[in-house]
Parts: sequence; structure tokens; C-alpha cells
Amino acid sequence: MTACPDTGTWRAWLDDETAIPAPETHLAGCGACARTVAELRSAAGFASRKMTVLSPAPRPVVTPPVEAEASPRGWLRRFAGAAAAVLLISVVAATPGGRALADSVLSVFRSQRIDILESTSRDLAMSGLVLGQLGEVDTDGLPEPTRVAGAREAEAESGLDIPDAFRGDSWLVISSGTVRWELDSQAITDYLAAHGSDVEVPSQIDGTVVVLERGAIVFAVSGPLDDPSLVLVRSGPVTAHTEGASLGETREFLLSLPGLPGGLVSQLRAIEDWESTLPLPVPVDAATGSHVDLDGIDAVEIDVDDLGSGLIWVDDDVVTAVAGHDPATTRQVAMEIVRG
Amino acid sequence: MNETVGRSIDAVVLEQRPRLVALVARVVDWPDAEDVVQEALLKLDHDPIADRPLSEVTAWLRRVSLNLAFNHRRDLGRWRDRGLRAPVEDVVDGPEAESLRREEREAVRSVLDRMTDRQRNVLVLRYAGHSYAEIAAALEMPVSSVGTTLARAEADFRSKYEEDSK
Repeated sequence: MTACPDTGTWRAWLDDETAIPAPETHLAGCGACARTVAELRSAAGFASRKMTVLSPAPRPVVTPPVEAEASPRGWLRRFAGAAAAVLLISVVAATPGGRALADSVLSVFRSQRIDILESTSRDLAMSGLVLGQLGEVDTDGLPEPTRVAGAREAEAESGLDIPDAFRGDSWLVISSGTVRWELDSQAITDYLAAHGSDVEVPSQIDGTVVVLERGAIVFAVSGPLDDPSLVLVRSGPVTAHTEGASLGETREFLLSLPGLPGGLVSQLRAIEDWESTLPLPVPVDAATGSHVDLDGIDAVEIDVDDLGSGLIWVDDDVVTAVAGHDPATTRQVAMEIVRG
Repeated sequence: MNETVGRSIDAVVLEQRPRLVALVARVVDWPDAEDVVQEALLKLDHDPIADRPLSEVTAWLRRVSLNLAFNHRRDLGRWRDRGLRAPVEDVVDGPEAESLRREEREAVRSVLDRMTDRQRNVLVLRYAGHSYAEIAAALEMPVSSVGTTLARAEADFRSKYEEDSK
């Protein structure tokens, strides 16, 4: 008979992690090893049954992509990234916990105020990737910006009221646009499987389309377009509705998916007036966000390390933002706009 | 050749994160699992291991994430003792079956809490489906020692669990 394998070798053999020559023959002729293997099987079986309960249950959700760049010239692109993030995250924001199933199919989200959503650049980027994995995003409805001569032309083109305090060397207008995001149950199932979950996707979710609409946007840019010193932005409201499952159902489902940064999901769930609050993602590793009072209007101020600052607020359904290298100038211009 | 050459840490993170969260979620509940993994990834940013081949980075992340997860459970216990934070299990309502499952989960985790780092990590990794080679890399031990460590861990686990059930 061959020499007795040690306990570790028998254990590895049980897991097919090692080979033992003629093991059954050895066990048939060696009572000590037979007892060892029986004990190992028993302990492994016990551990296996108990440890199964630790298999992670499916959980939470979503967010948006913000590109963190170190270059000073990257801040305008970052601002654009944040705007895209706002659009995406409003999908999630429009999906409160708890009352989801009670929501009517016709419920809609409409931006009337802004709140800060603290995260990291990495979490935001990854959340954007998560969203992209769940279905098809159709951005054909987002038109390219066009140059216009000045404030009056921008006003006529966008339909927005442009105050005198809006000044700039260059004027750009993006007409109103739509993003359609169609959820695909197979893509979601694949995503869940990659996260170790075999939860079935609710039938009503498959093919549901989240429609994000935003009004026209006007940009007034001071300085060169590729490295502006000050940018003023005014936009119509962001709204969201769904075709298929209700907005509440969709939101609740998204918030229950695994793989999304827990802190972000917690903050989204904490927004009580979710149907009207636009969460503004602030990557805390690159910027700080705080609420400030602008002559009676609640605004969010974002300071981007070494690059400048921005102020954004919603007043009478219109979203306005000011961003620039010099925080004092940014605040002064924002105050002038608010005071008309 | 270094596998991480030409790959940013962010690319590594994107690949690793979902599986890491699934692994850590065996030890702590969501959303804490997400936070624990985030903490491990932040540590990775500042650790020389980030420049090593991907297989080594992966093994490092598994070990550090599990250790952070058990540390987090220890901290939760301290906070709970001071009344600073209720455990997730206490604040989540759910059907009876889920409540029972939570109790079973906590019973298993509390046994793991009292085991050595190596023994509890070998159990979590093995029952999350990792191979002996992956376990050996994560726990910085020879592959030939995994069987012995696992056998001892399983025996110790059963002994402690049955003691708790008395």
C-alpha cells in the first residue's frame, strides 16, 4: 500500500485540486485515512451548507460619468461631463425608494431644485458604465451646439429669457433635446450574472424606455472657447418619464441592482422630493460642493481644486450656471444674474 | 513582462470591482460592501503593488478587501455597543424568510469573526468559488498548504458554530 497522504492532501483531493494514486484502493485498506476523509467530508459539508447563506443578495444601483481631468483646459469638458451626469442621474433620482409601486405610469420628474450628490470621480465613472450595460442609450435627440451672434439671437433661438447680466465673447445655443434609454432584460440578466446574482428581471422592466428631456441651453463664453475665463449657462428644465414600467418601478429596480456605489445610492434614496430635485454629482476627490444663498435663492457652489468654481441654481424652472477660474468673479456675476 | 504595463489602475478597478463586491458582500451587507471595496481600491492607489502584474494586484485586492471587511464588522460591533449605529439587520424590515436568513447569516459571520484571519479568509474564498491557486495567491501561502489550512478552518468553524448553537 502506498504511504498515507496527509490531511491537507486528502482535503485537496476532495476538491479535485490534487491527484492521489489509486485513492479508493488506499481508503479501502487504511482505516485511519478512511476516518480522516470521512471527517473531512463531514466538516466540509457542514461548512458548505452554512456558508451558502453568505451568498450576496442582489442590491443597489446607478449613477453617471464624470471625466476627471487634471488639465486646466479640461474644466469646460468636465462641466459638460457634469451636465451629462446630471441628465443620467436624474433617471435614478426619478426613482424613489418605497413608494415606487404606487407611482402612476404617468408620473414624471421635473427639475425645480438642485441638491449635492457627493461621490468620487471613479465611482461616478463606474456608475456611468453600469448604466450603459443595462440597455441602449439613444442620444440622437441631442443636437450639436450652434454659434449665434449675441444675447438677443440666443434668446430667439432658445426661447429662454436671457438677462442683461449674461455677457460673453461667444454665444452658443443647443436646442432642446432628448435621450432615450431602453432597458434590455437580457443585458440586465448578463449584468446581474456578472455580479453573482440570478435574480429574474421583472417582465415589465424589459423594453421600458426612460425618456430624458431637457430644454434648450444657452452658453455665453468669455475668452477663447478652448480655455474660457468665464462661462454662463442657462437651460430649460430637465424632465424624465418612462414608457413601459412606471418611473417609480424603474427607479426602484435600478436602485436594487448590485454594483453601484453604496454611498451614492444612499444619498439618492434620501432625497424626499425626488420628483423635483436634480442631484448634482460632485466628485469629492477633485471638488467640493456646498449650498449657498444667492439673494434668497438656494444655489450649489462647486469648487474644483486649482481650476476654479461654479454656481448652479434653479429658479422658476430655469437652470442657470456660472463657472470660471476666479471664484470671486463667479459669485459676483451669479449675484448680478439673480438680481436681474 | 509586467501585465499592468499600458493598463491604468482604473481599468483594473473596473474589471475587479464587481467580483470584489460580491466577495466582500459575504462578510458585510451592502452598502457597506461597496464602501469596503472602495477603501481597498483607494489603498491600492497608494501601494507599490499597483505596479505589479495583474494577477498579483488581484490577489492583493482579495486579501485586503476581506481583512477590511472583517475589520469593518469589528468596528460595527464597537459602534453598536456605544449605541452609535444600529446594525443593518435591525433596521431592515422584511418577510419572515428573509429575517431568518439574516439571522443565519449573522450566526455564520459571528463565528468567522472569532477565527484567525487566515482561516476565515480561506473559508470565504473557497466557498465563493476560488481555486486553491487563487486562494494561495491571495493569502500569500504555498498552494500545497491550502488543503491543510482549509481542513483546519472547516473543523474550527464547525466546532465554534456548534458551540454557539448549544
